[in-house]
Amino acid sequence: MRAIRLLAIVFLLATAAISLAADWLAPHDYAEQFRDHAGEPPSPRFPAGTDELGRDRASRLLHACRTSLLLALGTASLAISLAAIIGGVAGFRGGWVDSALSSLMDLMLSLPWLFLLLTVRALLPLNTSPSASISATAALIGLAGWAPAARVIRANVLSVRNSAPLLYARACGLRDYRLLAVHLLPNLKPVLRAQFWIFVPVFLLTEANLGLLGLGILEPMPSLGSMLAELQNYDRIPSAPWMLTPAFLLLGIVTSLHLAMAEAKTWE
Amino acid sequence: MIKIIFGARGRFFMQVAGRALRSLLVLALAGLAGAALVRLAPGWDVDEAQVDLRLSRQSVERIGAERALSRNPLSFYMKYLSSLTRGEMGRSEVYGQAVAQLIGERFSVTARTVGAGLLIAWCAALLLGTAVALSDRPAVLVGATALTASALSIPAGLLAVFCLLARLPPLAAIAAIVFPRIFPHVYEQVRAGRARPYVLFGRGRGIPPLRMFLWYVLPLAAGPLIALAGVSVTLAFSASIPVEALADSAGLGQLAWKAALGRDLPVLVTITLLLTAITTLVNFWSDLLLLCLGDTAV
Repeated sequence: MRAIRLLAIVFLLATAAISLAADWLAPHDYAEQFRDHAGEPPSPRFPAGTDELGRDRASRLLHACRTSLLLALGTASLAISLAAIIGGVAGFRGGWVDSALSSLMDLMLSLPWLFLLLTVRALLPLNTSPSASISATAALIGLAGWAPAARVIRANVLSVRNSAPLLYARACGLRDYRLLAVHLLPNLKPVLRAQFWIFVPVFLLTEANLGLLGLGILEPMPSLGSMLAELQNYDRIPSAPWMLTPAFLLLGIVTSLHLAMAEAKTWE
Repeated sequence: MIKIIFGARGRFFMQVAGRALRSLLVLALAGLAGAALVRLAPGWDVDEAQVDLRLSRQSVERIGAERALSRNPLSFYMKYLSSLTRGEMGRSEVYGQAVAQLIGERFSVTARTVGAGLLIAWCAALLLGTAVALSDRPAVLVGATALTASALSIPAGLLAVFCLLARLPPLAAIAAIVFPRIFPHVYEQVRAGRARPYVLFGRGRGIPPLRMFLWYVLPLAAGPLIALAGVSVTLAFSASIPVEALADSAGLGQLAWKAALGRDLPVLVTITLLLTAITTLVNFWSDLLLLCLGDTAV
């Protein structure tokens, strides 16, 4: 089992390194259209074939991987920051602040977020640039997804706040900000790290779902989700199975993340 | 104090009333949050009318001014709620029909698909989860975990593509999306129930396994699973978007998708509010059921 987990980490690191070097490794520009070669099967010139606009699928895949990974990491950072602030304040302050913030978490958890994401995503200006659509998508997903982690963080803060060292520190007259910085945050690091790595695959899948529906990152910028949008014509898959390349890459990344996380938990 | 004045029944009704009030508050706030997000979206002021060559500059400015008037999320929401009480939900910009009529036509399609999908997913998860927890073979557990973990690593839309590719109906796709999210919880609840000291003691005393399971393990698992049932309804409705969009099934999910592509705001806001209401109602019912079970559960 340990060998499989090690393999997953190696796969993740290799994928991240290759996608970061996409500008140098990709055989063609991701937006370049070879009109005479549209919808072609894999060949030495186009290793993963071309899409219906004649763009090299392998080059797009390299860039898509980079976009999706960076977006998932950025979104997870945003969501975990929000969760840490809201969950931390709720647990640390207690009383009515805790009640109000816990109600906010309940409220966020009861919203049908995919519907709301579709709504807000559809309202982006028509002239939004592809790079701006990355930031907008990341911000939307991050704002939507912080609540489950905030609950976990709140529960952890509550247990740490009532622990003997913190009660002693408080009795010694330590101020709130120092309690937070010196005692609470270091104790929360493992929880924050675990929640962050739980978020990354979740947000990769959310972006993929939005992209598959044509509401992810705007063209011509590729992402794993936007590349999956080709699968809306699923009747073509049996005759062109290489269309599934982004799907298998996404499956590999998400599975590897899950396996790597399991390993991290074992180490802790 | 309430218990002394009104008795146990009075306390129960007070708790029910409290939960109902909380559900209503959550629904109202969720609607406001949705309206605020929509109003504050950067493209709210932008629509196709601004690039419609048939409209004069004055007309475009007038449309812009009308939109700007309802920029305040609170006033927009109050106006929307007051029209909702009169049964008016606006007019679809894409379909050119009343939103209430559009939703009325499509709700039954989605309700049938989601209902059947949920039933299949729950039956499969309960049967498989219980079977795996009762079986002491590690190979069975590894196989079932690998299956559900793989399904959880695939986006819902892609899972729907695979189901549709296998010529399965949309309800099978919903079931395939919901099942891996329920199965681990069912397994864990039954496994934890079987490991309780008094269950182990009962087994040691020779009480038949079926009796132990029905009388001691199942009641323990009921509470968390009822809570999960509420969450699974929301999951299934969310899954209906990619499933119905890809399967070209004329339900609410497909309507929401087409409305999103066509920036059809009245439809989107109403569907989101309707789904929030369903989520809140289902959670309220599961809370109520838990409250009823509260005294009887082990």
